[in-house]
Amino acid sequence: MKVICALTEHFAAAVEIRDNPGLSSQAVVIGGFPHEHKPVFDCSIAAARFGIVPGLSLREAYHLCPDAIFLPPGRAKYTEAFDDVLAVLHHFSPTVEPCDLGKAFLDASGLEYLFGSKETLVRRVASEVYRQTSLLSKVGMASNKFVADVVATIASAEEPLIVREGEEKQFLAPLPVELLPISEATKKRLDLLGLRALGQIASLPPDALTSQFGQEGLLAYQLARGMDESRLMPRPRPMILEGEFAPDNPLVTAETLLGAIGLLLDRLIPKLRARSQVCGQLRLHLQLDGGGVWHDSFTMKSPTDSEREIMKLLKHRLETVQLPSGVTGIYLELSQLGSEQGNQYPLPESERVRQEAQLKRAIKRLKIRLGRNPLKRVVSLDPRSRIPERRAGLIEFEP
Amino acid sequence: MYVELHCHTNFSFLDGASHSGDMVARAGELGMPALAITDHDGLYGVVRFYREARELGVKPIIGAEMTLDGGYHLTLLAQNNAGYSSLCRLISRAQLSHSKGRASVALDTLARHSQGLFCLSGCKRGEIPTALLSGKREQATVVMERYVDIFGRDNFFIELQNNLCPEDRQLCRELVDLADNVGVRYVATNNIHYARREGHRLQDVLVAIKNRTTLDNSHHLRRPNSEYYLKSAAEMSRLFANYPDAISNTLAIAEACDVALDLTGYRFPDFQTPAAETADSYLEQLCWEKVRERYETVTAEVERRLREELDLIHSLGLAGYFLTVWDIIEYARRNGIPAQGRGSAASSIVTYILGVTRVDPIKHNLFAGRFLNDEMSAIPDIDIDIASDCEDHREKLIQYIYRKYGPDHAAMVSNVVTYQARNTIRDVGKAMGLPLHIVDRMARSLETHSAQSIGEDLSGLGEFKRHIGSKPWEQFVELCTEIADFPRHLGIHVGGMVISTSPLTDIVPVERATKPGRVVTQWDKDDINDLKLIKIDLLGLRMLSLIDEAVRLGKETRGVDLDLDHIPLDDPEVYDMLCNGDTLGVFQVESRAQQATLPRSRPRCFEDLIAEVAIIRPGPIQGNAVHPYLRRRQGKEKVSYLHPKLRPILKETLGVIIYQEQVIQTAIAIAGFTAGEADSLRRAMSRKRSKEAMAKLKQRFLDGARRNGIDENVARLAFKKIASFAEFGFCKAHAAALAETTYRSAWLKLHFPCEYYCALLNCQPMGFYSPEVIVNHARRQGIGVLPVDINRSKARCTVEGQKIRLGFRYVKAVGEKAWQKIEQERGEGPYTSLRDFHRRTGLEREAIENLILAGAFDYIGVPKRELLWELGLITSQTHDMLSLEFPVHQIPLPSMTLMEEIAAEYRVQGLSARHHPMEVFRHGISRDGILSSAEIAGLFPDTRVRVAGCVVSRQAPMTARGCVFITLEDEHGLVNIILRPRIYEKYRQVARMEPFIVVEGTLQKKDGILNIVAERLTPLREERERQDTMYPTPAPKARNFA
Repeated sequence: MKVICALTEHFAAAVEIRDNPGLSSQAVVIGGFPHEHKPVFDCSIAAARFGIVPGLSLREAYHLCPDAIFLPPGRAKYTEAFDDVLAVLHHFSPTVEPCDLGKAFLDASGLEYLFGSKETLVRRVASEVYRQTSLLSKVGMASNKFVADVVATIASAEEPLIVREGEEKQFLAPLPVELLPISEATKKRLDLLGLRALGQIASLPPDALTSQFGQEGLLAYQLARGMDESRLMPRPRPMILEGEFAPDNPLVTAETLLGAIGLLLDRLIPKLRARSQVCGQLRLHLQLDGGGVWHDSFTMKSPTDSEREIMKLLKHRLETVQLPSGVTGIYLELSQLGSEQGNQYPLPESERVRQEAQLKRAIKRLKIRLGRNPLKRVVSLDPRSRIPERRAGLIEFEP
Repeated sequence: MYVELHCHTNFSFLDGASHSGDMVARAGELGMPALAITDHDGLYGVVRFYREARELGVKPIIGAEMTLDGGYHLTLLAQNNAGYSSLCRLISRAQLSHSKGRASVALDTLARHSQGLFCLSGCKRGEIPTALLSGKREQATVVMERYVDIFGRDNFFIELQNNLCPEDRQLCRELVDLADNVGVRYVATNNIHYARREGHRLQDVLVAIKNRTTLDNSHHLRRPNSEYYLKSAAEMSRLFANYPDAISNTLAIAEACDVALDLTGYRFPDFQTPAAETADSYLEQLCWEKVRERYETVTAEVERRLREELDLIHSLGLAGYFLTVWDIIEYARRNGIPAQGRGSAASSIVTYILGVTRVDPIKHNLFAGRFLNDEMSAIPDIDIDIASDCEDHREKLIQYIYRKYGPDHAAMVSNVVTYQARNTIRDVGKAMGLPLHIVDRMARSLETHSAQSIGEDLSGLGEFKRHIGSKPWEQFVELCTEIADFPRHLGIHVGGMVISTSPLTDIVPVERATKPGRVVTQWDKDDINDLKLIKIDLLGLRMLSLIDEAVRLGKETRGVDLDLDHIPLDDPEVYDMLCNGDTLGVFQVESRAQQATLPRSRPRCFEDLIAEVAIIRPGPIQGNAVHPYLRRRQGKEKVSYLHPKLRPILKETLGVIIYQEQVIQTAIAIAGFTAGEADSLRRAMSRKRSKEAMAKLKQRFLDGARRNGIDENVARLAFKKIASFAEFGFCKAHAAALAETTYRSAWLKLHFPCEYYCALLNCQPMGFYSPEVIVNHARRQGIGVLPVDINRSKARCTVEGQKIRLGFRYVKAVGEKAWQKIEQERGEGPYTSLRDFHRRTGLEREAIENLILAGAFDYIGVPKRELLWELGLITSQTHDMLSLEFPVHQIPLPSMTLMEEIAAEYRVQGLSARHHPMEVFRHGISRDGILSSAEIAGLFPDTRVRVAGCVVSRQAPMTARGCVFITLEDEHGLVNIILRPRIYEKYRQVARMEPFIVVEGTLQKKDGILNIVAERLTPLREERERQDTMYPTPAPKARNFA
């Protein structure tokens, strides 16, 4: 396995500075205003030099650096920015694991066939992240997550680092024990024993470390030797179904517009049903004649796979909208997709009714998929027959 | 007209936000004829409030806000002296019947001691307002009637407060309604917590400090607005416009209150003499019986002096006092407690004969007028020094006095701990939620002791300039200035004890101290002195313990039975040692200043030693006596006198004033003062000196001198010398008592050095130097110091073949139970291994870890890290596991470097038994001309030198005009560094905060004394980095095998 770690330190502050370059020369503290009784969410590198760290109270941060710029946290903005970074990484690999805000791993196995040498790959990752998000990332590549993480921490934004397979132990050997994800108490004891470099830990017998420090000792030993078997846990891609339609002439009436949307739904709903899913939200983007976009999103009262219900909702909305010009393009997205088992039904319905409805829907889907109903009901034919096959028969199940 | 009857000064600890003086001054400005003080459950500030109010013409009303069982508040005011006594008794009961800080009084106690008291129903936390606020009107009526029964209808008032809180007007309405129904009068108060509105900010901070929280987290605890200030009659009349009687009743109460705080009822207890004896006759009998124990031949002079003193004691009625002190000393003697009198009492032949003091006043020509004279305005002080070590001798004596006089008649004097620079920064910083690491660094960097000059002090430091100049820190500095000198809490005075014939609780409230079994007065020593109560000082003196222990060790190790009462006071070797300045650890003469003076003053007899002890004091220094004395001792200056009349007085001190007695005698000789007048002059020039009083005294002095025919210029000069001396010097009797201890300690150090240093280490903390300096010094003196050893050490340090074995007490996390367990188990046989030690003692891992690092297991011969590894394996086994020995892996652990070993020893015991850190550092700084203390000794004066070492002491005496003195220690010895004010200002942070420094300066050599006048200070770590960069370790040279 090959793992790349992309790390943007002080991510939230980096996003704020990117969006407002005037802050680049200032100490920036994110979390709120000094009088607020809240902790620091993040801070810029300039602010960190004054001893400000996330978790410190804003008041303390103010007293440490009275000249700092204090900003309220825009968590949605940071998540969106991080999503952008992840999206860039997704272009390289389908297996991307987001870690803390600003840090992500991606599985780089086999990517050299697509992107050239390892050096080219890591440089491209760093440069693509910067090109598409304007955020500087430190990138490191190694054979596992722990080593890749350490490599990215040590690397600079300008110079990505690579540790080749088999060189992990040698690379880690001079590095300090503080890099290990073990408890402070164990780190303190290691220091007392004079074991301050990872190389020293790596040279000890694993059973000795285990008997001295328990499981932490074994973990320290494995990591110090560059052995990390933890797997990447890829982030599930957002589940959406999307469709586009570009009419030859601008659609100017609601009826024609709804007709075109109906065509789109005719394509999307069978796909939805084939996944045994229902949709909770719609996003509609309308490209207007002469430029400009009209867009809106709709949340369903309850998740559904019914084209009729979706059309009803869209019709209700579009009939009340006065579009300034004709529509030249339609983009429809079905999102918040989930299993229909997660549906909530009105309370008065009994459990039996609910189960029947579910069963019917399941049979309907099976019929669409297989072209027939595979479910059969067992009925008694001649229970006393001496030939077992005649005692019962199968008929199509209709709940 | 309005009088405020509910007022908290800052003696409502961490609640009141103004000094009583500010309250009284504001009351004066507002035209209040009287003002009440009502601090929480105490009369802590009453004495100064009473004095300040009288001075400003405001009638003082003494009261307190009492806490009742159930937490309700009640305001009590003393109507007369009987009421004052009731208040004292109530407060004492409230304090003594509960743990410290949780005073509360029961209703039946209140009923028993209600005589002479006005009672106001209290603030919103009063029982009646609480009931009304909860809608329990009937209960409020019942409570009110109960108070009326206790205090009487004329002495109970409903208290109305309107601090503009939402519920206040409604509450006032209901209270007035209730009062009218029951037929009780009402009175307005404002629950004052600060003199002016601006004080609310500080009050908020105090509340946060009291509740150990920050301002941000204390909203629910703080007062809702800033209305709790001293308001004018007009403001109060507006607030209580609907209840005019509430205002007029304040005047009625004020007029009815009249307490005189003169304590005429106080009397020192009579001594219980044998039947048919009075105190005077018994004292006389004792003295004549014991005189032969002190004097082989009772000369006429002894007889005359004894008779004179006994007559004086008789006429002053002090026989009981002398007998009480004698009784305490006798008890100490019978119980093997080293104790001796000090101070001016040493000039008395009576105290000498009774065994209270040890210095012969006849032999050493001690003037008794300073201690006893027929015009005395105050009771003479007899202070007693008691050995204070782990056996807690002092506590035994205190408990003896409690037993003998009863807890109602004896109490320790309290000490009011006030806000000074450091505790102010820490407390205010925490309350404001400031970054604690900066607050701590600021506190450690401070030069000033006064909280008022914190801003000025810190802004002089580059490190904090940025903070102090910014808005948020400005507020911090302002609050620090405002809180300066505020009482923080009540502690115990180092040894003052008050004894009284009548119950003390009639005179002054008493309360529990934090220490179990201790009761303290609510007044501090100044208040006690102001009201002329007699205080006996029982002061702990570790040097007495040290001497006692050194003598005992001498007997144990060498079999020598020492009797220090009979050692010769003229041992030339002792004086040689003193003259060489080899006085580290010697009582009173170990300071840098003393070490620098001794080679110049060269004491050769006990009289010289008395002068030496007395001369390094602010009095002689400010009186410009030191240098003339030293020059005259060296024969470099002719002895001269301001006037021939002074020759007999100043002859022994070569024409300069060194002792307090000489001040008195000079006033008598030049200005014709009587002994009493001269003593009054000395007292007037003490801590409470005022310009007006000094001007009057000066005129009286000059007038007297003129009448004696003395030239005015001479008289002026004499007065100047006296005035600058003031009380900041020793009286000769006191100096003689101290010098006697100095001589004993020097004698022991010379003849029993190992025992002496061992006892010195056991009696720490004491003196100028830390244990690490003592250990290093002992090693340099050729006395081996052995590390702690689990099979040899005891709790205290011990002597082992003329070497000192460190004790377990020095090892952190090894407490009393651990020592006992180690010693108890060792009785069964020595420990054979780490596992054996762990199994038998069951000590915590941290304790064993520290013992390993301190070298206690070195005897096993296994490196410390391997032992630590083994300890980890042993302690990882749980209790329910069989204690089987697992095979120990051969782990290639790195050996500790010498620096690591030293650092570990310092971390776990504060010192290294074998090495000085400079031994290691020296290697890294040896490439750029940095010399050791041994090397500079051979250089010429005025040579520019660089030395490096550990800062072992920093001193900035008030008398040094801004100069700071640092003592550096390296592996070879000590070096004195002088920092002139400009240099100190420049390098203050290095001088104060860095443990190891490099000093560059000019060598100064005078009379064998070696100093370096510093020009530049650098942290040693920076110097090491610099040299490492400049002189990288060279690659090993190739060997030429050809």
